[in-house]
Amino acid sequence: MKFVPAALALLALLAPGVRAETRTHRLPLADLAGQPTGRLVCAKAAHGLKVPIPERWAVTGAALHLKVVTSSALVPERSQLAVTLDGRTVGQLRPTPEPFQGSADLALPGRLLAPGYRDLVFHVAQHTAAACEDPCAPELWTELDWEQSYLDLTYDDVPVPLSLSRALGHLFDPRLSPRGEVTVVAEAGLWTPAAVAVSGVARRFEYRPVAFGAAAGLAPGRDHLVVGTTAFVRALLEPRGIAVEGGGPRVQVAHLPVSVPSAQGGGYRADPRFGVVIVAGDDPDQVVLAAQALGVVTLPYPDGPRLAPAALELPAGRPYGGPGVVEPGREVSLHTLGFSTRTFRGMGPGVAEIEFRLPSDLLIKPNQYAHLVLNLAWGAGARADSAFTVALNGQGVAAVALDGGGALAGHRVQLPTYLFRAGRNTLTFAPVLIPPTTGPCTVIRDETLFVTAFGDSRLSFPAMPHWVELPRLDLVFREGFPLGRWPDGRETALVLGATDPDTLSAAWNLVGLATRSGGYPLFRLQAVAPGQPEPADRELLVVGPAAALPERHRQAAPVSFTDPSVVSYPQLTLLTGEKERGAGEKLREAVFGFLGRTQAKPAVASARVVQDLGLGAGRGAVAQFEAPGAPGRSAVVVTAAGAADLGALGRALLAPTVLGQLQGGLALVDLAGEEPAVVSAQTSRRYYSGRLDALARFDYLVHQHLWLYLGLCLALLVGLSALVYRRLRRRRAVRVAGG
Amino acid sequence: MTYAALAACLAALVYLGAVYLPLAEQAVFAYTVFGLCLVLRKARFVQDPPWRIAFLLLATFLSVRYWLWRATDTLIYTGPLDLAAMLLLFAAETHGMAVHFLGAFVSAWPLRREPAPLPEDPSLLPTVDVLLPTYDESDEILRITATACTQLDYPPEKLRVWILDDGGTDARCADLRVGAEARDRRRRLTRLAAELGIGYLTRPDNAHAKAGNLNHALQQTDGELVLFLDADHVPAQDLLRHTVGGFLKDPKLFLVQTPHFFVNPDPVEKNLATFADAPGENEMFYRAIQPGLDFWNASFFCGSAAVMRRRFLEEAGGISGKTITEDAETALGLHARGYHSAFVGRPMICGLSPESFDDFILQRSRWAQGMTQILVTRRPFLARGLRLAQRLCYTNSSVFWLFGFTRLVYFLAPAAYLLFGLKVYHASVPQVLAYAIPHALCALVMADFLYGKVRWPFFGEIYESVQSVFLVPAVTSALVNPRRPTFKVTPKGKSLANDFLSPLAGPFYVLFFLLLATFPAAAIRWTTVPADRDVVAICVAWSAFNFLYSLACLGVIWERRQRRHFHRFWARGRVAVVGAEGGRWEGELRDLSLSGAGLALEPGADGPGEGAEVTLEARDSYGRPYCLAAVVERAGGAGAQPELGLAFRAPGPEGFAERVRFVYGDSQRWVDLWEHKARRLESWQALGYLGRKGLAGVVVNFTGVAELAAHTLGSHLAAALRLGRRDPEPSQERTAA
Repeated sequence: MKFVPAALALLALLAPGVRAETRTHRLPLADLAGQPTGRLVCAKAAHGLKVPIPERWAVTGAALHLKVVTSSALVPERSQLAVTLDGRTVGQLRPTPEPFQGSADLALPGRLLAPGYRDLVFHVAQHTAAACEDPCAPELWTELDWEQSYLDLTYDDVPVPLSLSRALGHLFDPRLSPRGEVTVVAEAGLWTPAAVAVSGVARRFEYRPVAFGAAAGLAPGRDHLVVGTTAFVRALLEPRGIAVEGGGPRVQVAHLPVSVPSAQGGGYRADPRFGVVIVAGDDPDQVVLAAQALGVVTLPYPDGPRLAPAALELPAGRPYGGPGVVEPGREVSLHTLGFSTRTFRGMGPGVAEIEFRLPSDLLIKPNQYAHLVLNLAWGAGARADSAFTVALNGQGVAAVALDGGGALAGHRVQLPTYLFRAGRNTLTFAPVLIPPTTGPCTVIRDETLFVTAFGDSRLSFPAMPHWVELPRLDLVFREGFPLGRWPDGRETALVLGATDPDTLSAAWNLVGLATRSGGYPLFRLQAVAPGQPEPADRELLVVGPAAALPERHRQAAPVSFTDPSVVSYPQLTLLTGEKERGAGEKLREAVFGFLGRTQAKPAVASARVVQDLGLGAGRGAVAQFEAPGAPGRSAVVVTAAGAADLGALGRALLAPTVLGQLQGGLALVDLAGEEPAVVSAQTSRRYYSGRLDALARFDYLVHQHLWLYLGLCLALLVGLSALVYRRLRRRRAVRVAGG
Repeated sequence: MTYAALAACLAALVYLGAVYLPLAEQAVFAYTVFGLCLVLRKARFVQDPPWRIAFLLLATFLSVRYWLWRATDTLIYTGPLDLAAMLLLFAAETHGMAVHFLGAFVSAWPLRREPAPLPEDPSLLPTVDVLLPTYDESDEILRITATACTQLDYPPEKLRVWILDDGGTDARCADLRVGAEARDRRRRLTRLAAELGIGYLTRPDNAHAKAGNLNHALQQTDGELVLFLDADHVPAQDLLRHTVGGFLKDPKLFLVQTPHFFVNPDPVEKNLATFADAPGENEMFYRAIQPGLDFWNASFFCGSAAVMRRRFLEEAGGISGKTITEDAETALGLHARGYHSAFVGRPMICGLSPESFDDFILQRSRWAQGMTQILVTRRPFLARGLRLAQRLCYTNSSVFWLFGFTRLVYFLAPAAYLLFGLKVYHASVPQVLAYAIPHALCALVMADFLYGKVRWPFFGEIYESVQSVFLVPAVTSALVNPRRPTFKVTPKGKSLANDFLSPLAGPFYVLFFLLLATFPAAAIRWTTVPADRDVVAICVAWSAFNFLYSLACLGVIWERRQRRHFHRFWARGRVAVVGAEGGRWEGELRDLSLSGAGLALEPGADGPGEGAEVTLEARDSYGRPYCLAAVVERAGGAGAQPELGLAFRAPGPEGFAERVRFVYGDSQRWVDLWEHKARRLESWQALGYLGRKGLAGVVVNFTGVAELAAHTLGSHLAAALRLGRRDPEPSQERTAA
């Protein structure tokens, strides 16, 4: 019985109008390695890559093009580079003395490239002499040039399974290369469930980028997410041959219907290569329920095409929670942070990097200590100067001597808090394992050279207040702060300036970005249609063409996006100088600059250009400023002159190179060129977000106006002095009179 | 209403003090406040309330902010030993800050009162007994003091002077060990009293030491007022004229205290050679703190140079003897009964500081133990009958003496980290720059504002440093067993024939080498624990500061000789020298002592030669003329400003009395001397001065120690050689035998 859906899919694939094609996809190895080159040193070393093979690809074969540079000192007879795929040797290369660099093409069997992450490992054995050599002599090296190496994958499309539990993984697969693409078809007015559904889909792509588009109907060659009431969905899909039976909240999957022209006027057939995920309900609440169900990653879907969630209980959640987050004041195991027990072996044991996040608005007090409680075990074969070193954000902080074999349970390492950063941090374990005997003509056995770091080691960070100076677009787009302060987005609203497809496309991409940054679906995100009142006291993500932005946001924005008569926007090329600062500010920067806030403040006034239209064609702007009427809350505005530019801006923001350049309070993105160009500026007024104590509002005022604080202190001191003086004057009179 | 407003203002300020500011903002705020204080401290309008109070509150506010930051941000558990060391340091800082704040409170509005006038009719004046308790002071000292007492400007029929001899009590006279000396002393002092026409009192035993002696005398005498003088405290003629009026003006007045003025340098001043330049250590107490205490009706009895009303004293059971600082304890008891005290800021006695470092420590240990006894047994903050301000003042006076712990912790804290790795202060360099440094600077400015003319910056720390090592065990013993400490008389008027190393020097060498060791330790820690470089940097700076103090301490413990019989002091006034063989030369007095005078003649004058017999003609500030016979001992400074050194001749008791009256009888001399040295020194100047004196001190110390070692070695070698030469003789004898 279970073969029926598969058989149906196969039949559909073979149906006329939908032709199965063999395709080739080139996967640059630099994308997998994350760095331009890989260097293998010592007599024996290896470097591995994870090759992502998505579910929807049936790989039939692959060709590996490898660019290598080897040390000229290597002896070809005893040196080699072997390539293994999931542990199976798929090729061997032997270095030649002349020339020192070369390339090789290896054919990889398709049967070894099943969906999943495949281990592609490059092993080297390197020698400079026939015998008796220093096993880690500096001339023992091979460099793999990732930038010029690639993997050509030849694959056939796999039909979308019509089982919901498998289809979602198939369609929204983080292994899709170069990225996933989903078109959202949402019923007008149901923007909130659409946004929640988009967020759920983005979460399924984990931390990989996914491009969302928006359309009013279905289009061929794309996966679709349809969000709306049952009536809307029926009206859209039933004429195309997709049955939407029954009522109530639902999540359903179907093959994409494509039109087939015929003499009778045309019809629709299913294209099994693409899917349609339907998120529907009889009323808006049911649609929201269905959208939330889509986002619940662990929901046990039935083995059929449809799910009808009757009720959904979402986790209560905590602010600043989410995957990979170390919550201050709590202890977390490294396993929770994605580090499983790992054994480092041999003389080139490699390093392990553990990425974790601290809340982006954490006010890190530099004089305290976080604690890393390590559980380690190591072999007896290491020399006394072997060590298990720990680094935090690239700075070495501790080392455990690994001599004589042994184990440590609960070894406490103090990590100074000033080495941490709010947001993303990297903890690195880099063991150095040295055999007891080294040198030429020495038999070196490295089987006993190992150290195991256990995943139940723990990390804790002391409790600290949340307080951050804004605007900071880097936090918005790289950390998802403050939109994702509550991981489920309960304090965030998406304000739509317009509902044309481009604007919606940009909005969905931004929702996807926010989800990626936080790592948790924005179940409680609220979308606000144009003209509707905004909810109070929320972090706002405002998306729309410049002219369609809500008036109060346009007024509050650091620059005018529309007004032609006043200053319009900073011209990109002039935004590189520093703002002319007052004498007081210069003094403060000179004396106390090293204590913080040392970033140059780009000039705005000198770069403003009066022109006919605020934002010209081919340009977009991203701005962050204090939300009008909500102290401490942010409004993040993403806008462009026209809807098309806005849609392009939404897509441009998916590029890591663009995201990496967003900072300060305003970023202008030039979309006209081949690659988007970004100029960021600190144009907005400073404001603070966070909560230090019960009187946070007063604190907020103090931070906004330091001189007011000083004045208030002085006024109070003078007032107190006057009161004290009144009392003392009387006392003095008595004392002088002889009392 | 006022109290409610005060409380509201205070609460608001504490809240503002606790408001978190980002580090850069905190730095801007703190240095702005510091800058404001720096600018305002010399402004004339700030010297008096209400702006004075505002200034003190402003400076205090910054320190409160620092303390709140320390309390909330830097006390972090990193291990049990770290915790103990960290809390010790925090407690020391809190103590230092509490004393600092209480000092500001005490000095909020010092009362510099004019002496109350005396009635024209002498019959309306109260009778006064002058009590001179003595135990082992020399006859010479006593003779000077007693002679000066007979010269007090007060109707003779209303004045009785008594020598209270505790060195010649019946018990001591009967003692086998000291009996002969005691009996001889009793005989000598009885003769002295008879010679001067004053009373002599002694008692059966020495129970309750000085307090018992005074109480015994109070039972034997009946004057309405009692003037208490230590045996070495020579009164000026106007002492009673400036103090008795207060008792007529205020019927509830029990005490008029006056300053103690010392004519000789204390061991710290002597050994660091600062006496000629810097204000004396006690000047801060008598010129700044006592007037402040007087404002709060909390000026207390200092054991001497004070007049008390007998009736109130008797009502309280006499001088209290439960603690070894009977004076402060007695005053506390009388304040608690609702009586008043007053402080007249004119120095009208001239006394002697302890000459040697061990005597100095003996005296300070007694004070520290006594005030600790008061803190523990009388609990001044909770004492019934005292007003809140008086409680704070007495608490300040007694808690201050715990400084030994604080100073020692400050000394050892950086070393604890650098040498032993104890984490005592959790702060980064930027935090220290934003919080600690402005607080420390502001505290310096405030101290300068309050005490600048009478206590140079960092000098208090020197005194505290040299005492701390010895006060810690003394105070600890008083804290553990408040009944244990006993009264020990401070020796006065000793002369030191040669330079020598104080027997108390040991701990300072340990401290010196300990602090020296912190620097290589810091270098090692800097390279081996890069994560802690912030802390290392802070500790090194701190240790360097401590090291500077330890240098000064080494200078203090090398005792310089003191051969002068009578201390010479700076003096001024027009004088004339009349030669026995004719000639008269006008000049200006330069210095004075009981044995002679130094003077500068008019420019170009051809004065008498060395050995010439002359008469010194002068007047005191009251206009009384003096003609003192003298011999020219030194004639120099030829040319522009000839100088003469005169040695007074001693033609009989009258001549001696005249010299005492001229030298010690004029209180204006002590006022002039105070003013002569009263100048402010900026903190950086004081630090430089201290550095120079410290380095000079350490050079003298090490040179002296080296010479001492060479001398000792030489002696031993010589002895060994002598022994070596003698050795053959017995053998020869044996051979001969």
